[in-house]
Amino acid sequence: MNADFPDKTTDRTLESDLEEIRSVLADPDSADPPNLLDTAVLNTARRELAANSQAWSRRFSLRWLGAFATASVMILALGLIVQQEQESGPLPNGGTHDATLENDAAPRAVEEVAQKRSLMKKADRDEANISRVAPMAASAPPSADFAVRESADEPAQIKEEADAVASPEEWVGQMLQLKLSDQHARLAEELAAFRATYPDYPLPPELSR
Amino acid sequence: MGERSDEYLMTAFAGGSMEAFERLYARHRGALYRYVLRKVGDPSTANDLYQGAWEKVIRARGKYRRDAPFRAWLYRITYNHVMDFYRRARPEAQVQPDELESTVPGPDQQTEKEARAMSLKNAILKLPPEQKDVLLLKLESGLSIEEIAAVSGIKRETAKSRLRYAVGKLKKSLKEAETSTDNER
Repeated sequence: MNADFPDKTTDRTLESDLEEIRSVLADPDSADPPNLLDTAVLNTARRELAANSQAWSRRFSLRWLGAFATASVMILALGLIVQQEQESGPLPNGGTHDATLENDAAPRAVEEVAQKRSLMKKADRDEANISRVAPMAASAPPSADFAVRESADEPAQIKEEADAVASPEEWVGQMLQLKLSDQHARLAEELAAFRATYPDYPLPPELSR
Repeated sequence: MGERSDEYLMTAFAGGSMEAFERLYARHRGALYRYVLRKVGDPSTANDLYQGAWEKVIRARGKYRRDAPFRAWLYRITYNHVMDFYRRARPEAQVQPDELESTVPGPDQQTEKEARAMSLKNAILKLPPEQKDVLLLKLESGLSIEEIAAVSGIKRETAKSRLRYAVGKLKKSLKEAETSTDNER
């Protein structure tokens, strides 16, 4: 208490006077607030805290709901983007893609489609050839190079094996080998089959004779 | 929670601890009540103002900064609350010290100690408001002169001077009370 009046001795007197006043005023009846007042103040504090915690939990739940909704929308959007990418290949203007990759992508895709189409056409053509060649192949002993199975009920397998049939050039080369090795009977069969398959293909003079 | 500082308890209360507020309230209830009661004189008005001041403290808990001394903050809120009451109140609603004095029992009905206390209370009520503010803050809150100056919004030297005047007047009234008791004997 004396710290408040450190500069003068009269301040000490003042402090002792204050103590005297305090002791005279000490009145046990009026020293404390009534109990009802205490209860009212404490109840106010409790109510305020409860209201605050309710408001906080309401704010929290609303915030949580908002966050959940945002996350849901984002996941949905991402899902749609991924699905779209899978369906239509690379994005036409995907910002993260490399420019050169982007430039190459379109021609490559066209090339791939063309390749697929030609393969499909070839497979169809070969399928038709097989159906024509099959009876002959059945009558003749199957050669190792031109083995074709007769399993008409498995078109996929036929197509696969038809892909394995030699190109006209290779076929011609193999027939030339047959001629050189004097296997005339087989050469004739092969020639007949070849002509049936490729009626307009120009044969070399060694075979056309 | 142990013997925590007022500042710690107020921060804990602001964070949602009712126990912290109960401790804080228990520490300051008596002094704050006496301050308000002696400032306004009328117990009914004092009760209202005391409760109102605590309600303000409770509602302002979010604005409390831990580095600010709690006691000075509490008394500043109470001081402003009482001042607002006097500014708003109509003149007829204000408690007049003379009215209170008339309810005081006569000297024959009280002991010497009670007579001195009553005389002192009456003297306090008769003090000019600015001197009474400083005196009550010093007597009841135990605030330092600097804190009293901050609570009242005045300079330190002004607060100190007002306190000296107030104490001088009270001492004089005590002496007068003693003299009149001696004369009656």
